[in-house]
Amino acid sequence: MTYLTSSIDSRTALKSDVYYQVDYNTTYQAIYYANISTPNTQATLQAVGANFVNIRLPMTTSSYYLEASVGVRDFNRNGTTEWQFFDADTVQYIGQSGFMNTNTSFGTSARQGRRVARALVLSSEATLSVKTVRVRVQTKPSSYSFQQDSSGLSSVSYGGAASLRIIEIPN
Amino acid sequence: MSYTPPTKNQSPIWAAYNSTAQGVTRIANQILEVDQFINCSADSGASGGVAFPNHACYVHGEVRTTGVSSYTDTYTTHLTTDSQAGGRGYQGSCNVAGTINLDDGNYIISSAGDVYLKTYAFGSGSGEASDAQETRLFGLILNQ
Repeated sequence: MTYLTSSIDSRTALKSDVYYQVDYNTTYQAIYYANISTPNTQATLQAVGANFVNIRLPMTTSSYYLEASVGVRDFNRNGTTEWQFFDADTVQYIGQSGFMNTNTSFGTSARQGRRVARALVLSSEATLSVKTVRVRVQTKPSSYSFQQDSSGLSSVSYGGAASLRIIEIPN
Repeated sequence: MSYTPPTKNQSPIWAAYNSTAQGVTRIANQILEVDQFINCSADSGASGGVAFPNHACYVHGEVRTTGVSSYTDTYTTHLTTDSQAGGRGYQGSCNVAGTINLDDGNYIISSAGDVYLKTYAFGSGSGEASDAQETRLFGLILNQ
């Protein structure tokens, strides 16, 4: 006979990582992120030369909820930008895009709200054992800049810092 | 004979918030306090934080503000795991106008301990300052 004297504390095994935006490749429209030494999730970042950073998602045992904000500066305030997760396997954008308009809807006295691209990548829909995605900027005026330094937006005080968030949902 | 012990299944999702205006927040390193707790507990030390003594967490914090007429009067916020220390993780900006727009959430992976949302830095304007109207924290307890 087996007898357990204490209750079992069961907790859903959610995991998450946060990555810091560091650069942008104009040619490939790709946002760069700094790697972290000890990620919590199975997801990994893989730099492909100086072109872009792939987000590698092992799909056998987990699904993933992804979010990406971007740091933008546009001194000309002359247009809009849109960014979205891009599926490198199927070569198409996935999920919901993020959008900013610095021409007509820049900051006011009211809260502006979050601007974020998001995607839910499901294990049940995966056709590959490892899915590859990245964050791409679809449209932007030439005056837009996405470069960041250690304190956030380059050369802009108090700009904050944008990030990529990965939440792993085990099957 | 078989025996099935009781199972305590705790949600990994927690939230904490303060829906009361906290006044003008033109003070560096001021804690933007939360006083309502869902599936989490208040820090027993400095007020306004959330305590997670045994678990790492993914944390998202944000603040809704009013009373800013110029981006130079805005402030940025950050999350910290120490009531006195500087920011950890990635800070956000509130009510930024003019040349920049940015997601205004704050995100960190915290180690076990307490979590606070604090003001971080201010613009140089001399006009009216921001007033924190609502403060929210949301997070996932990580199974590591």
